[in-house]
Amino acid sequence: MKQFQIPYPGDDAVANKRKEWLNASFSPKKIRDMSDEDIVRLLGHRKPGTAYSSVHPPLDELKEAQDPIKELVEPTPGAKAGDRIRYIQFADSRHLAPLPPWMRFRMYGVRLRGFDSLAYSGRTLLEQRERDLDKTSKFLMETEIFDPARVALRSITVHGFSLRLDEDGLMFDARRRYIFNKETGEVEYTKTQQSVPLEKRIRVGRPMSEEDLEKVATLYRFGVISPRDSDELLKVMKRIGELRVLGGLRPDLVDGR
Amino acid sequence: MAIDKTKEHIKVLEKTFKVEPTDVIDKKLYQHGGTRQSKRKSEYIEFANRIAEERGIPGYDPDHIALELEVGVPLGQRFLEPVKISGTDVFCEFEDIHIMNNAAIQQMIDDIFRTAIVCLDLPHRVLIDRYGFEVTPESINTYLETINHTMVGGAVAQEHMCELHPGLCADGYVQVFTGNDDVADSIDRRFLIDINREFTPEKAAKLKEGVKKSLWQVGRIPTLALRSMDGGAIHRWNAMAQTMAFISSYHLCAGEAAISDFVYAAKHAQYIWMGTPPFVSKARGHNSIVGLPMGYIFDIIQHESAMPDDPVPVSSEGLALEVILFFQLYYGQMMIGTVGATVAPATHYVNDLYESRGAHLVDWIREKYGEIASAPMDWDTIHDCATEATMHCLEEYDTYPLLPEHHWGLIHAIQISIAAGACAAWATGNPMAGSLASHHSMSLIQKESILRTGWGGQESTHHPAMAIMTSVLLDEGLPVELTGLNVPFRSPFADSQHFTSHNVVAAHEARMDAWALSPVVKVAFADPHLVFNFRDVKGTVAKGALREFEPAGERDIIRPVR
Repeated sequence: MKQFQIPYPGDDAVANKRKEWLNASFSPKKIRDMSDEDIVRLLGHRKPGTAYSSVHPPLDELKEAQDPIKELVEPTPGAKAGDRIRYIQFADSRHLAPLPPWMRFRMYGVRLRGFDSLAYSGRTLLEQRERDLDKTSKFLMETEIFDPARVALRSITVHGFSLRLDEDGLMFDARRRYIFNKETGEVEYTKTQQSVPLEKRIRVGRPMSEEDLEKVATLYRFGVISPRDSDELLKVMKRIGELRVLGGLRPDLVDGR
Repeated sequence: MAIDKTKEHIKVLEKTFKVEPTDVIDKKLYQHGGTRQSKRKSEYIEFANRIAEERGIPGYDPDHIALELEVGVPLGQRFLEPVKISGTDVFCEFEDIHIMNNAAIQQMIDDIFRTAIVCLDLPHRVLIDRYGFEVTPESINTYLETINHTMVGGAVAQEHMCELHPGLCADGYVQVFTGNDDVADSIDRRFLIDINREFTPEKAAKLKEGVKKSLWQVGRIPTLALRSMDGGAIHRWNAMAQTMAFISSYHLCAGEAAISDFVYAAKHAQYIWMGTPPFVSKARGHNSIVGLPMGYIFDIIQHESAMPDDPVPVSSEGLALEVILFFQLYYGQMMIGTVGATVAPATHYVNDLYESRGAHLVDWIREKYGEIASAPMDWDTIHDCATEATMHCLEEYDTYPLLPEHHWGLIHAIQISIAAGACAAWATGNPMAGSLASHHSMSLIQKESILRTGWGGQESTHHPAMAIMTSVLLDEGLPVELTGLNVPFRSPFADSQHFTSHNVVAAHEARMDAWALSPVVKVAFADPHLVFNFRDVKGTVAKGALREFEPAGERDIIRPVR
């Protein structure tokens, strides 16, 4: 995939963190190992070890109409094989989850191919061909993107990002898909993202400390780095807003600005 | 932000949640009592059990669905907070403000859309010029007495007609008003909406100047008629009642060619729709929320103004009215249905939050610009107001974790945008400034500050809105007061409508205007006989929440006695 950097205004810690995520070559810190089987169990789309089901024959076996776009775009492995499209969805707590929905959405845009995504107020949906999704999910859950306390897998009953935390510092989940194991200090999933009970608990690691969460934060927050202090960002927002209005009202008013 | 427990909305949260508003940990999470923590949900379950037993088909049963079938969400894992209706002492559950659960809200909607406003100048000209009759105070009063008979289904021309039970139509009647004091003085007081009595002298003078010497008639078609049919029937009902009253009271010939002039006058010529017909996919008749011009919101509310001191009280009433109409009714029920969207819109008129934030922003405006409605209408003002309001709200959400719990989901985003718009509208007195500030806050300032906005696709209207709402083309922007849900980009999403309507209210109140879009509509809703009290929107909704509001249009008279 082509390497590139999307520009972003500002030079404070938050702005610089955002720039990192908007760089296609940025490698986030890997902080845990998870087996492929556990990832598949959490996703809940098929049983571990079973073959991918397909929605069409492999592309090599298909006779397709002439289309220059198909010559320009290399299909992903999942698309080549004809996999079904599957999803993974994360809820990201407002209490310092590393990547709030729009940052997560943009990160997907920078790093992934062959995907669809939607950023809500608290959650971000990601859809890909199944084998592509398995690979992406492993990346998303093994790196600093996933804090077990402030980020959660959930496909249904997603609310909770804005609620207070439970006594162990975990984000609220009305379906209680995960618990904090006080003996190991790790968070364990007892249900899939669809809230179907798992045969065995899946450990997803220790929650980050508040200090570490603040270090990886990509949002401006009063008490950490205030959005009032994001001078350059506000200046750029002001300019974009004004140009949008002028461009719609009378495009000639944009000239020279 | 220093912790400030004197803030009204923070005090209410502390009182209802019974914890420190700055705590980020909920020590009782998952142990709040499930559905049984809610008096209303408990009532629903018991009621539904009886229904299921009687009819043999299961219905509402949240605990069974969630805990036994294990397919639904176990309700009540978090604390289900009661809320205080702003400006009142009434605490209730969010359940009590769902449209289907609140008779006052239903009546509010009915009272708006069962209203037929028509100018009597044209039929009077027909009587004078075509027939050569005299139209006198006596003849007008006779006509008014007659139409108050026909409006509720009384017959005047034929004997073999089925008439309506007056008990089903108790809220049907007709009144008139005019900007000419001499004419007003000659009208039987029973039929007059007296501008001089219903408004302050300053506003009465402005309204009379707007209404001029025309005589306007306001018909209230019975609520039951609206509910049995729809808003498209209202002008026809009015036309039948009005035309028959003219024929009878002036002794005309039923069926002669000139009668078509009366019908035309009663349905079309100087008839004021409360809403134009919706676009095809929302197909309904006239008088639907889809066609309600946003400027009418300011004209419908009748709350006493506190200007030049404070634009917040009237703005707050407008906000309550518009979120109920555009967000709860249109989006929550007409677009979604069932559970719909109740909590998100209701957060705008509970817990005195808007008033509290408004007080801060009014102080900030005065300090920065001097007086209300005195700031220059330019992008610097719009951006500065949007930024101040956005930052003030974001700081509150970060300081008091109870607040984002109360404003879950996209609610924080729309609350911030409402504050941003109100700030710019109050500062400039210009609704376009407020509307641009709302969209600017959502699509750029808060989005880039905290990297989250509304639910999926929600913000997609806010980006184009910046560019197209300054247009006056019919399917793009329109002048702000004339715009509404029929403008395509406002129709599909939850938070695209009430921003703009709120900014209309806030700006016109800041300017101390007597009316925004129509002086006629303003006077029509000053009628003290209306079932819903438009002088006190929130207070009346609170009565509905307490189940103390008596609605119209009930069928008790024609159902078996229980």
